[in-house]
Amino acid sequence: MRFGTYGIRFLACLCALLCLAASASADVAPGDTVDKTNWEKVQGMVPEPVLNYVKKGDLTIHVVNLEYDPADYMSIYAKESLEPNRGKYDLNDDGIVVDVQSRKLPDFIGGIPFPEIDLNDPKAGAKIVTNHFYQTFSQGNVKIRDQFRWIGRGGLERVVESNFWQYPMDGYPPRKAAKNKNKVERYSIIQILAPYDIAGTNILLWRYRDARPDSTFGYIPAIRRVRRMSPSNRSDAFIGSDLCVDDAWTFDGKVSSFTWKLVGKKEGLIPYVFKKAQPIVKISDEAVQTTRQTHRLQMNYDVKDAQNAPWFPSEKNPLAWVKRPVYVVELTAKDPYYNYGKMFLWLDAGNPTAAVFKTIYDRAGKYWKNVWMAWTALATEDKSVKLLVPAYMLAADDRTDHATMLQGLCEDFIYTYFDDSQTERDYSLAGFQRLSK
Amino acid sequence: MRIRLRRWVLWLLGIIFPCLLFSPFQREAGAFFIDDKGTLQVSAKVQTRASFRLQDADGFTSPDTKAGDLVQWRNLGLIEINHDLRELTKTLDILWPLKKLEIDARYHLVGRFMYDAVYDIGSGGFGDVKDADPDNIDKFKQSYDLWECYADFVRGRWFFRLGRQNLAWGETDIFRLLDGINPLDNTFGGPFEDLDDRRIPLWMLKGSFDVGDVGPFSSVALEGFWVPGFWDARVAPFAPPGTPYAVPLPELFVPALRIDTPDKKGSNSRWGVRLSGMAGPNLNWSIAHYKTFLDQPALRAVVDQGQLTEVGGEKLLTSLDALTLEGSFPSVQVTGASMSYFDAVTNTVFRGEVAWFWDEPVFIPQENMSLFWGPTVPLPPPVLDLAAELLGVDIRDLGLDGLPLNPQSGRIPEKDILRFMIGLDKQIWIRPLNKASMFFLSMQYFGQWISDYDGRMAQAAPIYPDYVVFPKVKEYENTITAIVNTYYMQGNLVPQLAVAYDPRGAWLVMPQVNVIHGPWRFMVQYSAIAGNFTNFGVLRDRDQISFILTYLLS
Repeated sequence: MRFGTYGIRFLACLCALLCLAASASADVAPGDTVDKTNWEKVQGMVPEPVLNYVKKGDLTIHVVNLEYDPADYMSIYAKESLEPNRGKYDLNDDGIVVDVQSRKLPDFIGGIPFPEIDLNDPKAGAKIVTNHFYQTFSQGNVKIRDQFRWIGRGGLERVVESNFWQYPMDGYPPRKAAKNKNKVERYSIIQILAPYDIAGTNILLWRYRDARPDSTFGYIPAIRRVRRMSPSNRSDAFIGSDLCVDDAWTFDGKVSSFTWKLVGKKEGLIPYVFKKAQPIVKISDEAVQTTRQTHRLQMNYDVKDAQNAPWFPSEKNPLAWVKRPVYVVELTAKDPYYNYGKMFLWLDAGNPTAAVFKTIYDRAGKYWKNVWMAWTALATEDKSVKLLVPAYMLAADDRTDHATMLQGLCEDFIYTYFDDSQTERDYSLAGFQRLSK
Repeated sequence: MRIRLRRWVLWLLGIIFPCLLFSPFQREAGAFFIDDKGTLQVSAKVQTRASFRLQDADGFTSPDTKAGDLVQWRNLGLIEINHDLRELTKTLDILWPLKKLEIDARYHLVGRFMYDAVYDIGSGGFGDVKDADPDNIDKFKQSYDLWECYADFVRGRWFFRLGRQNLAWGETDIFRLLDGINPLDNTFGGPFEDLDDRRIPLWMLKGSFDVGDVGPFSSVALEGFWVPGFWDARVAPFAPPGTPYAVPLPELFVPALRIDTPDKKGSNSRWGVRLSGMAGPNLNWSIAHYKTFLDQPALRAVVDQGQLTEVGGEKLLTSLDALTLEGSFPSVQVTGASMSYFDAVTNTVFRGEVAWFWDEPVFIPQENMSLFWGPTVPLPPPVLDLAAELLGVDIRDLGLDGLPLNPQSGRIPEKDILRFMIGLDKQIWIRPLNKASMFFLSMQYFGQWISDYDGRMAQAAPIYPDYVVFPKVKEYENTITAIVNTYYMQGNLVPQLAVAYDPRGAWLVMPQVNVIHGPWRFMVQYSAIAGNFTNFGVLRDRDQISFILTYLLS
């Protein structure tokens, strides 16, 4: 049979038509509901594991319009830094932020270091993730109460309740005058409150602005002492859960400990927790706090005969999926003993840059699990203070069909930002010891 | 090996525990706060622990327990209250001084309720122990304590903790060097129990000053504590003879045993001071000096001169009523230093500690129990035989060939002893065994050197069947320990193995598995000591398996 020119042209047209059909089907509009019957509509707009949840019937996506513009909810310090920081900083070969002229570590970085991202910059991926961190630093001292929940197909299995405190030394302009002799980027403490058998376990982190590895200390009630810990176990499961320490904020590793590649920028679907900005109130000159008007998410495990996976919010309060430009960044740990292989981060490309999804492959290159972080906006009544903060976090292990979820931001778990009750001394070893039993 | 479990025990294990594990009582064990602001937290747990011997008692161990016997049924209830007063300070007038002085305050309370049922329902032997000494055992088997009770005050660089509390210094696990401030209660399991479960809180004033950066050092802090002796001079309790974890002691000595605890007076205060800090980002160090009491009493034989028989101007010991085996607790001062260093190349935390124990009481039989090595009035064998029949004791078993002549009380010699530890902590992947979680491995090497060593030094536990033959203590002794654990099933299955080895031929092996199910914890722990009668080997006939069920109320 002679195929000939006409045959080739026919095939080319057919392919083009199919591609158009695929892209035409991979589009959604506010008001759309996507489930296992029409999953093609979100193909390419969400990471593959998320798409698989929709295909299997574990997840229903409700596409909405937010009642606010996320870009408007950057912290004031992040907004004020966009212009002055333009072109001011770069990353050195270690992935450390340096002054673009002197190539040295600047004394202090206020706000977002890379307001503009050149998609052709080989360091774009690392810069985007650096922005993700500095966006959180610009919200000042943070005090968060939350609860880790182990969830299987049978429902809720176990909870661990904790406080999380963060004290940034960089990115937060009121901290510019601090001496910071040890060049700390941020301090943080995780304080386990319950259950009784591990309550009192506290972890102190000092992350440095240069390439030095983190200093990590743990107070273990069973030995009644502060013990030095290795930072390399950040890829180890946190108390055996589905997430590791580096899964916090979707990604909480040290940028200089990974290699980065920007895969691209495209339109994606990002989950938010609430369509409306949630109320916060001022509790002092600086500090703001969430209120009891924000209610706990009802989860599918709370609902009898729920159709979707138990670790997702129920249809009474589904996640609000919004079309947003996203960056997709590939990262790999330099540490040969890191437990994860290749990972892909999806970050909201609008301002602020917020990490939303992380797809994790094992060291053999096989897909393993995915991490989510859904955000929400907070605002005072007079809109003088606006923030975008994480409100729902999930680590789902698709091999064991199990997940760990972080419940926060509700009447039981209050968040405080710009918390002026903390001091740097709280994060010294002596200060840390004071938390101990 | 014969296992003899009473039927009701099997019923308990086989039916009740699984029912409890899978019962409707599976609510979340989340934190429970009384107030909306989350400043007043209440938490609690209840626990029951049943231990069964896996071997027959041997040697001087009493009572004569058999494999399969229940030796412990310890029931524990703990309720804990933590209250951060910072919010209340803003509004409560009675806390005005705190507000005025800008002091952050909080308090911490733990109530503890303990009851060991083994004396009431255990194997016949423990019932006999109770019948023989009902008052003592009734007190021993139960306790209701305000276990911890302290208040914290923070102002700037200053921190004070006042009240009944535990304080642990140093870097060692399992065995203690600089960590000897609080006494240990070894009466309910000894080395088979977690160290922290055995600590006895003391009424203490602790203070620290956050010095900050000093020259090349950072995070420098000065810390001190004082346990006023007129308020709290308690020491490690001595397990009454006949209780499951008592040190093996010949029955002959039991009636003569008298334990003298320190009086409540100022000179029996414990105190200490420590300076700590960091050198660079990876090295933590501390130096410390403190005064404390050791956990083991210093033993000596005391002769009541008034009960000796005077013959021709000489005094003879003709009755054991004149003899007391006295245990006392002289204080000890300890000077030492510790360090921990994180090495990024090997990804390992190295720990080290050294401590000099000044004038530590030691046991030299010829000194502590001198009357057994002194002059005697020899008696012919037929007389000794008759004496054995009449007294119920053959004094030849005590190494005597006659009546002690002019016997004197023993003395407690003292030596300076250097102890040190080198250890490491490492988290490693062993992926063929666990793809999801790392293994935590901790190893320690303990060394001990006795300055001015006396070759007669011994461990105060007679080697069966001799009453006055004791395990030698060498000039240099060492012990190696190791612990490894990991998580499986999303942290709901936690196996652990702990091992200790004394190169003089004693092993301690403790594998355990902890299962987590909602607010329930179920642990099975096997504890075994084997080898020579030295160091912890004195408990080598106490192998046991324990089942521990815990319910966390929050």
